Amino acid sequence: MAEYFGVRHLSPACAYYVTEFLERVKPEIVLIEGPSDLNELIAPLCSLETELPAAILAYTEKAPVRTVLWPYAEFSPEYRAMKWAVKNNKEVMFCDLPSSCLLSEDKDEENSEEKENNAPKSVSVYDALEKITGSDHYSFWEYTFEQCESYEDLIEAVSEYGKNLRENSEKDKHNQIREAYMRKLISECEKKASADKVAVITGAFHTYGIKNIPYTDEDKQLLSGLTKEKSKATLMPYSYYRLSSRSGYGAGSKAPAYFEILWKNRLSNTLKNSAPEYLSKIALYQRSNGYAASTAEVIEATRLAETLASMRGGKAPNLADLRDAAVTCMGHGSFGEISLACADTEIGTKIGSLPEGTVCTSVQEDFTRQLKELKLTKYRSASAEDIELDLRENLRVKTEKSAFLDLNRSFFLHRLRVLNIHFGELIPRHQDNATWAEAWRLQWSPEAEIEIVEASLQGDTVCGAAENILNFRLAESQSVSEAAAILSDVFMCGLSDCVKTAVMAVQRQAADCTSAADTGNAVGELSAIIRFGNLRRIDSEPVCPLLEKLFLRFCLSAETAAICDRAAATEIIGALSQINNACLSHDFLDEERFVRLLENLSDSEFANPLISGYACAVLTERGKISPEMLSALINRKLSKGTSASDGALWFEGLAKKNRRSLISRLSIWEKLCSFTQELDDEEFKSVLVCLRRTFSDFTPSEKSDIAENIGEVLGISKETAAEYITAAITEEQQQTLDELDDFDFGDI
Amino acid sequence: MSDTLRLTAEELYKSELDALIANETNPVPTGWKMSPRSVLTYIMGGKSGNTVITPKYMGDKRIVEICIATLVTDRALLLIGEPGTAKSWLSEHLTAAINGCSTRVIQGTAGTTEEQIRYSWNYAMLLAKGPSHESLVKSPVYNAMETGTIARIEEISRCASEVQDALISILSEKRISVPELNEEIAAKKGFSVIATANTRDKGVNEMSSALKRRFNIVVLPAPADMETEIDIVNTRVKQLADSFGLTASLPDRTAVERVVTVFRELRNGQTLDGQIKLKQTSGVLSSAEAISLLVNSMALAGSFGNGKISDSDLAAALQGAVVKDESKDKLCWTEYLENVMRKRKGCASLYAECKERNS
Repeated sequence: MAEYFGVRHLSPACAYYVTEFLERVKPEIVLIEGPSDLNELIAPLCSLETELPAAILAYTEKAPVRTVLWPYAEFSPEYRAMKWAVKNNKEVMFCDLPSSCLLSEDKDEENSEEKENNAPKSVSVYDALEKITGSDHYSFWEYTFEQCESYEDLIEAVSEYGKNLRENSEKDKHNQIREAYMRKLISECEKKASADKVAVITGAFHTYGIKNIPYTDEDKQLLSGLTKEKSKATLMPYSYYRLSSRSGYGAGSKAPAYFEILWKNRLSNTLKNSAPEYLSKIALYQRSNGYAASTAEVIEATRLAETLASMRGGKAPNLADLRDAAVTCMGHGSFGEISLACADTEIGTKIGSLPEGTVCTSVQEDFTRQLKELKLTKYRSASAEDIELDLRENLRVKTEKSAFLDLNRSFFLHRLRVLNIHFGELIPRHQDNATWAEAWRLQWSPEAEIEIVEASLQGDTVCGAAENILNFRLAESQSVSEAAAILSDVFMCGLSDCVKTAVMAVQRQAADCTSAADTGNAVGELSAIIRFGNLRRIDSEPVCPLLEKLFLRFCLSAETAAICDRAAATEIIGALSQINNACLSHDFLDEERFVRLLENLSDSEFANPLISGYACAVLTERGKISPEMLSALINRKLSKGTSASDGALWFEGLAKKNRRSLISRLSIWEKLCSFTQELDDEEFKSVLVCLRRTFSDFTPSEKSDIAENIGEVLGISKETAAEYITAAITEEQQQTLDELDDFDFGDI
Repeated sequence: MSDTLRLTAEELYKSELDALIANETNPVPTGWKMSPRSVLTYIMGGKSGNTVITPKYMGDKRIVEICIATLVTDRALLLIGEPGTAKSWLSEHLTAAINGCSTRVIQGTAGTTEEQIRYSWNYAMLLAKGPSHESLVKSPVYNAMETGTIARIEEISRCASEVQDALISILSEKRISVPELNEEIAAKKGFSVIATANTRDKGVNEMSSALKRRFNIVVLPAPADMETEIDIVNTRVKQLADSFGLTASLPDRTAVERVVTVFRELRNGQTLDGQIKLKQTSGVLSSAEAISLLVNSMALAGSFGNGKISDSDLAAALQGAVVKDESKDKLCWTEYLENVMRKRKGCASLYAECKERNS
């Protein structure tokens, strides 16, 4: 009979003792729970160049892509067993169902959760366990198994565990088929080598389903129903983060970095050091991020953790004890204070790497397939090429696929952009309103290939990865404009499943947002989304009420926000212009309210003059201010009563818009001339700075038109004035201007 | 029934404590009456021999474990939390279980002096005999050090900072010196301090970080879910009604549920389903307040009504509990009534009563 060793996946204790088990048994053949059609991946996985964590990934060839994953870390018992076999030159192979069968099974139960690993899925087992032990199964596992100090202890504990697990769980067909398959392979191997030279390493749960049970005709019948799906497989670099966050199965590792501490200490036979090491790492992280954490606190935390462990029935502290102790002693009672340190110490940021040429992930595959489908393959070259997309439905073609070819291309390229894969670069267009056209510059580079592999850490297809990363960013977003920008990305990428989450995120941020500038930018983003209409074939209806809400919020808060310094004023002007555009494009917004706001702003004596001027410019552009009113306003703002610098700032704001109509109004220039002439030297200097800034981005033809105006006002010929204005600055003038750089602007 | 208004924990639960001590199987730390595990059973409830132990604290077991473990390691324990999260309650029961005595208490106030924490003198005796052991008046902390037990300091953050800091040397050296008698008292094994502090009250003093470092800090959360809170309120209302001899019938489940719902929603600033954001009131609206609100309603109903809590009794009590700051809270309460309660099923009559009182 073969020898069996039951393990828990990703358990340092099992990983440590599996080697001892193999040393004792000295098998000729090592069988490991894993996809039996992917034996050829064992060699590259065990290669010296490979750095774990890494995973075996199998995926279907045809869309929609389905995947199965077998992740491994340094402390995976399966990995240690493979290493042993490779080192000792023994035969090693996987003995579970082939990946192609698993993928085909997946198809049958489409709504079933992702089967990432071969652990028993029945959650109820773990629930039952938690009820019995009164602690969660991670804690239970750590107390009972990770702290074992001898081979015999572990073997006994694990087999007891597996047996109980089995008794308490319901039979499920999936596991029966898998175990039948394992029995088949084991019996085949036992025929090849003498029976006691076969070692079988599987999850403890399965050991009891296969140990000393012969392969029967009944099994044969079970297996006859297996179907296969065309699939491919690859190794892929994995990350501790993904190992912890996407381990939806009971045997996952919530804290891979912490388990690595346990593993290393087990190797060096210093298991007792794990607790202080964990706590010191937290203290170190706190210190390096500017928080106080003393050695005394680490000592106190270690003592507390040990007491907690003994109260809860463990020999040494487990992760929960350590974390409780860290919160109490270093976090002053609140987890928030050390949450980042905990994430760093428990999960970590380690990413594996693989020798070149061994990786071909499903994202890469998906990328190539989409290139072909979207007829973009020829752009996969090192020379940059431009492509123009027309996002509208092409009515001259027959199939829907080709009718929306350009739209799908755009989705695809936007998804790549979100994933930071530098293949296409969006060329900004001057026609802002051409919402249906897009231009891209496509260029292929080896870096992009690497970026695609990196994207595979986010998901299994281009679309899935983009969705994951956007969801992640939404959860992280700090302001309403940030969330709105992501919402806009969601639309750009055509990820209709994400829309709801994104709208919720914007809503959440909007509730807490107090900054007018931020609100304005968000309005800009949302307005653009609605302007796209249904061009991108995603319903933008849910965005409208959001826009309305933010618009109202801005109108209410802008007046107070306008009383601000220059830097903030620039931001608010940006927001005002966004709101103005939104107001022009959407009928459902309360235009009257906005005009009233503008009137108040342009009339206000308290608002920053730059904003007042700009509000006045918007009103002029909209034709909502009478010429008399305008000239009265200009007279007032540029009169002696207002400080000179305020007047100049106001003019700067006014000149930010509809310059042509300004230039054509002679009265304005008369006023400006008399305004500057009445200034004394000191005042003139400050005004000069503002005016220079105002006119700096006028075009030469605009400048010469202004020259004409001024010439007329001052009574000199147009040419002479133009000469003054366009002439190069003399050295002396330059010097005076340089001095102005140090000019003290006081309260401007 | 005893004629004492409020019995101490160790008097009230004497039989449970005796049973736990009698059935002790685990090692007992020096100075303790029972093992840490028994203390946990006493607080969280369970069985000891044939005696049923009632749960005293309903909430996260881990938190209580941390508290007990802290005291085992001779560290001082600081319980922090919003008003009404059972800080004092927990500290009283911890000392009752560990020492069989929960009365070594210093109540922290703005008027607490350093002498009250260390020791003071009986001045008549001091004048007559000079400094001597007879004229020394020992503080509860002093007493606890001598006997190797736990002293409690309630509302430590209400004391002036310099008074709080008198504890620093006591906690780190575990000694108290009496220069007048040229003596130094060393604490016996088992001595520790449990302090409680409020986070959201007005009129509290910041604790120095030197002092904070000497404590293990445990934050007591508001009850995690609706069910737990209803349980807590039900249990305590029953206990209080018994001890006050109230004649009214106990509030039915819907009444408790409604009060707890209102409290939870206003406390968290959003409705239970998370759909509507609400303004928060200036008061804290703790479970403790919900308990006293219901007991008050019972007293009202028993003395002046028909012995059953009516919507009108509830509305009056809610008005008093929610609207603490007339100008601000009234608005919040109106907003809550209109936006939330009016639309809720089965709340029509309570809504009408509340609205009438709030107008």
